[in-house]
Amino acid sequence: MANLNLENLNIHYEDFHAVKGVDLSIGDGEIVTLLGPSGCGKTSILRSIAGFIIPSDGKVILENEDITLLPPQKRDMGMIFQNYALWPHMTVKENIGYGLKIRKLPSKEIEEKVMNLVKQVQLEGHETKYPGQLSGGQQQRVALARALAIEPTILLCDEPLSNLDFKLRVELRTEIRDVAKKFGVTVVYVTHDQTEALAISDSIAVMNFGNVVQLGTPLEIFSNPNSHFVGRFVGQNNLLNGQITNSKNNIAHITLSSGDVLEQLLEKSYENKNVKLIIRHDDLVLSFDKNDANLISGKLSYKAYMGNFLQIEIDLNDGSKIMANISDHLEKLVSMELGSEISLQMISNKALVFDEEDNRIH
Amino acid sequence: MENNSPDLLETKSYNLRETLISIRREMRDDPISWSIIIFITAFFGLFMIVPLLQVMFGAFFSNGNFPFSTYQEIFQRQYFFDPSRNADTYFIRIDSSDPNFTAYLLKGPDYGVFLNTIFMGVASTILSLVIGIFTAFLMARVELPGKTLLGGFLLIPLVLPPFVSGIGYMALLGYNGLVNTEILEPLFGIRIVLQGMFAIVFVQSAHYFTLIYLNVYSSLMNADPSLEEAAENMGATRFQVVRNVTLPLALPGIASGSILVLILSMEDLGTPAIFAGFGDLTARKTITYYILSTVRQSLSETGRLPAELSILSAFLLILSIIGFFMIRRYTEKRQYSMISKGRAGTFRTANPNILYLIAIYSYFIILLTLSLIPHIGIFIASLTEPGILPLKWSTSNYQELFDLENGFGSYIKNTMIFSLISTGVIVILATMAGYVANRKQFTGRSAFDTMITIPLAIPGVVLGIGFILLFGGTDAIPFGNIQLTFNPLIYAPIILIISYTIRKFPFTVRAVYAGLQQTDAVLEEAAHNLGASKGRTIYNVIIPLIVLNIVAGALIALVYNMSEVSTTLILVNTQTHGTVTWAMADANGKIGALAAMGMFLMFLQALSLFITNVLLKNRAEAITGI
Repeated sequence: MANLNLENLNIHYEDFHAVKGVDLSIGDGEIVTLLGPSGCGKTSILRSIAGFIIPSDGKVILENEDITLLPPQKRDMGMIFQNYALWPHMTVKENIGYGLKIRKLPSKEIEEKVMNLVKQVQLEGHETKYPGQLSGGQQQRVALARALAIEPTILLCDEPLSNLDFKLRVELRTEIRDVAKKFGVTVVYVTHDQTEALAISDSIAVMNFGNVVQLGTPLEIFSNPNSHFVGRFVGQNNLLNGQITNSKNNIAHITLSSGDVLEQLLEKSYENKNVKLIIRHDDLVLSFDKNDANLISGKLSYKAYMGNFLQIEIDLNDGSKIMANISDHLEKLVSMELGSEISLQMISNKALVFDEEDNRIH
Repeated sequence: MENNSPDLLETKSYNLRETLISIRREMRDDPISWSIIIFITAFFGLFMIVPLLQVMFGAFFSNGNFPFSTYQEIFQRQYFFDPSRNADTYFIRIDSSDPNFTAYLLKGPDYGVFLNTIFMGVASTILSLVIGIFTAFLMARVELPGKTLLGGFLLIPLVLPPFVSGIGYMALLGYNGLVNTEILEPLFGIRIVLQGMFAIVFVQSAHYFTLIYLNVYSSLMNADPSLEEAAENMGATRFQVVRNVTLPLALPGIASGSILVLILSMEDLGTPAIFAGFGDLTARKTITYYILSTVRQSLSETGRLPAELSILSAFLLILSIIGFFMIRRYTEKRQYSMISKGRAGTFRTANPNILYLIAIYSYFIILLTLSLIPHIGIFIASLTEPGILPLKWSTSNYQELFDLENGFGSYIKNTMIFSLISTGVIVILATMAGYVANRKQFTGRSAFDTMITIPLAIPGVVLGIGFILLFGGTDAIPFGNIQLTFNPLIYAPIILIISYTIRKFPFTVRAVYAGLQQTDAVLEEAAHNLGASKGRTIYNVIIPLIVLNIVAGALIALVYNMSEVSTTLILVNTQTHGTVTWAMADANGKIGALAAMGMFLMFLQALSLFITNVLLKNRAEAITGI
């Protein structure tokens, strides 16, 4: 229950500059996710907040106090590790109560608190089991309870759900968010899974190559990516190259490298400008009318039935490919042969457009 | 731009300065670890590195010059090099001097001390390899009823050090052994006797094949079954699977195992000493035995060691160190080959028909009979009165054994005292060293790691010579003018305990290290994260998790201490300080009492190995749950 500031945080591993001057401010009770591909520096930041890494430069500030050099055991932060790090020689109860024992609480109080947590994370009946006797999801809950038991200033989560199957991941991320909010604890959450980040966070810091590329609410990150990297990383989408051939009243005609032409409302008018477009899989629909606007045509090269939609891929005539999730005309699509000519229509103005300097122009 | 000149000296001094700076920084950040590192390095420096440098120095300098003439002498002496000797007359000799029987004496070659040692090593290795690999394949890939029992029997050779086997072997297959006097002579009128190199190779292989077997067996069992399945899936026959997948995967294990056997058999002093003690002249002609007898003779006659001893010792030492680094390389490779995610399924095993089964079991019966001969021999000999036929059962050997005042009891007492003290020291130092080596990143870590594991390979004879050179007050080697007048021949107990500690250190370190390896460092971080101090974390998390490894490591060290032969024989010169092994090698032919002592060692060794096995197995299952 505290606010946390990172100031110009730099982390080096020998020759590798893992974190490059990151500034980040996390408010009391906020759930902030560090999201990025592997090697982007997110785990390094988390470990420097925990005190396992001393940054080569910069500060970690907790409640206006510089804790950069404070040893991990003095930080009062709970952490959930990727493989849970439950002590195999201690029972569920002993694992959860360990931090309280270290803090020399009377054993009656420890018992009370532990049992309360056991209830919170739905582990009743498993108190005296050893970690080896628990399922992955249960181990994860023990790790959560253990981290929360010390009433941490900050709860640190290092990809806590990555070892679980899909259904459990969805269930537990909701549970982690609920429990965190109930305890009012500030959370720093590391993941490379964008849906997890969108679901659990109050705000997301998208990272790449040791920098925070964009910080914002899940909604901002998803609908207003500030660079094509963020746009590509969040959501399922296509990246296409094109050129603004002419524009009038801020409506530009963008010719894709495949020759197809899209209409798109931009911030202002441009001429002869190379752009990158990001088009989400869900923003494309099937079209049977050659006169429709915003058509992209090619040959069907892949299709996979996903239940409520069909995922398809189309080869465009310049060799590039585009993918789409189509939920209309499913029966027709299912019977369509690979190699057939097919046209997709982009829903109006749904493309995210970036100029050559990677500035968002729509 | 910096100066680009390729001045090596400059770069080097720069690196040295950088190294020193980083060490100083690490010492400031983690004074506890560095105190441990410095203390252990000092211990090994004084009691291992300096003595061995003394040996090396003696091999290359004599009064400041290269001792060319000594080398010349060694290479010209027939006793060392005798390659032209006519082998036929020595391989098998038929002796008909006794009218009651014809004796077939299988002596094996004798090409002089140097070549004999090499022959002994190579022959034992090849024999161990063939038996070990074949047995491992049968055990790992063929469906055999009673496999668990067989597996147990195959470990029995391990409970008897080869030199003790020598005694059991003499009791049954020696010239007057029971098999000869009671079976072969009355039935066939012959006696078959293995002597010299043949006898040594036989005894060594019967022991060392287990090392290869264990190594290959674990390689075969740890490989990912899907690797073999993938080959079968692509149409490979079973033979092709073995040749193209199974064997290459096991190869690093085979290679490191066979180098280990080569080193151990070449530096084995016990086996030649036992046979020599029974009057076998060819058995004396190995480097280790030559060193032993020369040390004893020259110290009592002239009080100094002849220069050739340094050269012979250096030869063994260099060979073992090269072997050590090769084993290391192969072991790393083996770990690499085992990396595989999502291991699934089990190996499919061949289901042999009845004819094959009969053949396989005949093989096992022959193998087990041969490798258990020593145990049976010792057992019978320990319970009978020597030299009296027919057998007369008696417990007099055991009474003598436990008579602490006059009999062999004092040897047992010495053995226990030396071994226990040394084991205590090892446990404390090795746990600390293992922790630092596994958990800390520090400058010179790999050198430190080498230092604490290399004693595995260092021949005990050579370390013993080093101790005499360093502490003995002999004037043979004034290396760096380091000479301490702390005569090991007088202060043998202290020096022995130190040498045991150095020599058996790696076993405990390895056990501790293995425990830490299985204990993810993140478990410590989790405790730090919850507020536990470093000491508290070690007490609450690390020690409970690796305590079984520490106990197992301690037991292994204890067992090997009790059966230590080479340095003991070299350093102990008086009965007062004699240990069980010393007495065994020195008791010329008193086969009954020797056998009783052998039983004693065998019992302790079997017990310790059993406990170790139980401990480590349970641990593995209890803790892999995470």
